[in-house]
Amino acid sequence: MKYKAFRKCLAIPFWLFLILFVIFPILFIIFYAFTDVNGNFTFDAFTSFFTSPVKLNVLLISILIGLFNTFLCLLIGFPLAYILANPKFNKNYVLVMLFVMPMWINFVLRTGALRDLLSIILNACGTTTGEHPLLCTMIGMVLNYLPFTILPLYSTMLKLDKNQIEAAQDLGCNPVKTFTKSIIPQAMPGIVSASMMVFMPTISSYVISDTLSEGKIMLFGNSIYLSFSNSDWNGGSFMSLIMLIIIFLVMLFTRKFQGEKDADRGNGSW
Amino acid sequence: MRAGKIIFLLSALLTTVSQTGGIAETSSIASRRYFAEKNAVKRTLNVYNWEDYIAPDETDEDENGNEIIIKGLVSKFEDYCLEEYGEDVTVNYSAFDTNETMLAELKTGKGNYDLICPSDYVIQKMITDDLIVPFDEGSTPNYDKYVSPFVLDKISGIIVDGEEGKVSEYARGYMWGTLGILYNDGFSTIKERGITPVEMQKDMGDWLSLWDEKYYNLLAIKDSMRDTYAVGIMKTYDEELTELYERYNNGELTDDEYNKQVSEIFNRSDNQTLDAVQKDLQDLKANAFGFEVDSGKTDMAKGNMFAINVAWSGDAAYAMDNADEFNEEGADRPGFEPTILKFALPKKGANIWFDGWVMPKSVETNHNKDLAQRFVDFLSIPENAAQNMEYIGYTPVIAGNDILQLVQSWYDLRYDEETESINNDYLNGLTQIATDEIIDLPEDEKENYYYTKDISYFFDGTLEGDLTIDNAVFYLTADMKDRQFDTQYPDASVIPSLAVMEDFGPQNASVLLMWEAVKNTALPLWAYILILVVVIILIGFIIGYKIYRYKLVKRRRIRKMKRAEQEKYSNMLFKTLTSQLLSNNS
Repeated sequence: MKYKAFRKCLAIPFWLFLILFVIFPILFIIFYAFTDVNGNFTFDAFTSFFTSPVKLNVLLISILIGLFNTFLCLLIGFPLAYILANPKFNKNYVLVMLFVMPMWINFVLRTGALRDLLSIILNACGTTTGEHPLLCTMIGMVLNYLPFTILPLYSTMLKLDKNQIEAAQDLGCNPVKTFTKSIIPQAMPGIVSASMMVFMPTISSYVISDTLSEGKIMLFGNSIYLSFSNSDWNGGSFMSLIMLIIIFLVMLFTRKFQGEKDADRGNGSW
Repeated sequence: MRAGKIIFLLSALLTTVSQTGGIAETSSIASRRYFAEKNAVKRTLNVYNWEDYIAPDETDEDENGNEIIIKGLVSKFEDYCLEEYGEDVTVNYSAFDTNETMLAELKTGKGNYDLICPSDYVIQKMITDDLIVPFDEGSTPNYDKYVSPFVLDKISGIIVDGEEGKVSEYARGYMWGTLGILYNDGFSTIKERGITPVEMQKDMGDWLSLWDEKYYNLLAIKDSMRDTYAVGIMKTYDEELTELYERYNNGELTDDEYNKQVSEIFNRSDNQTLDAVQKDLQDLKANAFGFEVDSGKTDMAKGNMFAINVAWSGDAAYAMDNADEFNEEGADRPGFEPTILKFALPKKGANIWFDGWVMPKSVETNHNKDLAQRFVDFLSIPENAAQNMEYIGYTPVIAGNDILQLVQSWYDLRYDEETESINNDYLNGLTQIATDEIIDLPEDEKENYYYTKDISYFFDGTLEGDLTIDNAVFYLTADMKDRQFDTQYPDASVIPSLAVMEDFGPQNASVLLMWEAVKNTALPLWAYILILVVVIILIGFIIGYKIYRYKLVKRRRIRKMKRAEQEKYSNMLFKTLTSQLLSNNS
């Protein structure tokens, strides 16, 4: 009994942290989202968001760029992670380190350096970064979020059941079928968590689109920042709330997705 | 007592031993401070200012190589209070990064400040919202004496609640500047397109050139709602402004009338204007390289990203200084091309802004009003303003002898560094040239010519002693045209066209929406249709899959039920059969 009470006490700091830094901020966001400047209850922020074609368009473009970035990251990250997981290529984890290393450099610094680099390359091609805001933003996004894709994929790739793949090959699957029927289902948890790690931060990212598109592409994060920096706290809070709801929905969706696949694979009990 | 004596003796020893003024001075102040602090009243002044916006303590070396401390204005003020008033004042100095964060903090009642330094339109808003208290009359004698009549006039001209002159009651100016165009006529693409420096200089005198295809992809505009709006409105009402400009040049309008009318146009923000400005700004965005707020000045100085930058005068001067430094460093490198930046204030109208000190209401509950006013007045002493100007790079609203001499030492070609005075011999061998003829001079001959520039509009009535208003005429070499000096003190001819941009008031939300629409990237129509089709197909697919699953499950359930029934039946059959068999047996 005594120990049980003591153990419960150990959780207090955790709960305090959770309440102070997670629950309270969310409550504040909800409070600001449904009040006006004087603190009266109102749906103004709600109606002005859903009746503004500009704001909805910003959200749409952010989601599109988010999806595109996720797709590109998976396209590049998946084969990379597969290769890296092969001990033949990746002796002493040096290669993994090389791919993850950019994460240790300051994010803003990295983006600024990339801007200069892209400018040099594009100038040599006879154009400038200002003329290709989308291209530059996408390059920046992929470079910045690739490590977030590689890491979860790499750790699932390490646990791939080689016997199953071999069995598939033995039983007459061609390489494509082996890939779609055995490797992808096995790597699904990694794919889902990698997508999660890329998609949401892309939508709310602020520095990359601002620096690399020369301010020409506005993402949802930029829009939220713009509201706050022009003292429209209520509108900004409502948009942050929308952001939270999207995260929640995506999590719900992926969890269900993951669950089903795991069940199909017999929860990995093989 | 004993400790005090020891410190006093030590400091006396130091004064005699050390020959350097710096250490001697600090130690004597330290000892004086020790005795004064004992009976001094302890007070705290809470100052809230922009980042990097006051001269800090700096270390320097004197002729003997000894380290000396040049006191910043905050430390100087603390010493000043101790010596003159016998008060032990601590200045609690903090900094904000945007007007809006500061305003939000003040409105929500967070933060306890005695003195804040916001921009013009925010001061206007603060007065309307009743957040600040006015200065006492005669409480800032130095400011009243040395403030430039030109800036004071602009400050007083702002209309708050239908009244003029209110802002000068509530605020004391600090720094001022303009929003103009910083450009680099030696930029590679400019040369490739065959645009000559003369042509470019003429073009930059007009905001409309920013919309010109000639400069496509070569200009960066401010990623800030108010500043870019100020540019957009110049295009929207260009016809009216051109007409006004011509009438003014024909002598039909006085300076005052002209300025009033330009200011009126400048401050339009009705819905119709917003729509027109939005269209113009979208065109400008299409023609521009991009948006920037802070990075523009360094990019311009490096001279590698774009050739034209809408810039605040202080940033422009900073960029020029930086570019000059890079030029010096790179001079020996083969193939290095120097970057010479120039600044233009378009003739038909431009934005003039100022930052000023205001006292929020909390100054009264803190009983610090006299101290806050003393601090503002202290900063307004020309000697201190000069120190500020040297460090910050922006132009103080304070005129007076010290400022004039400082600016002369920087720019006037007659200034002799050894005697620290004006020496007319420097003009020997140079030819005078009229300001508007400089444009035709070849670049390498500019050193041989000089021109004069009269900025008495700024120093009017603030000079004393030997200096008269005639001393506010500067002699400059021809290559100084459109450079640092012109950036910091615009030509007298453009002064009437400079307008203060007021707060948008209730239209603020609409302007923000307009600005978001400008920043937003609209997709072509087919893209929206494509997205819609994809989404519908996706939803259809998911629903179809669900129905399929549902049917599958249902079919399975029916099969299961059938099987269960069959089992039940067979069980029953089995049971009845066995029971019959059993009963038969028995």
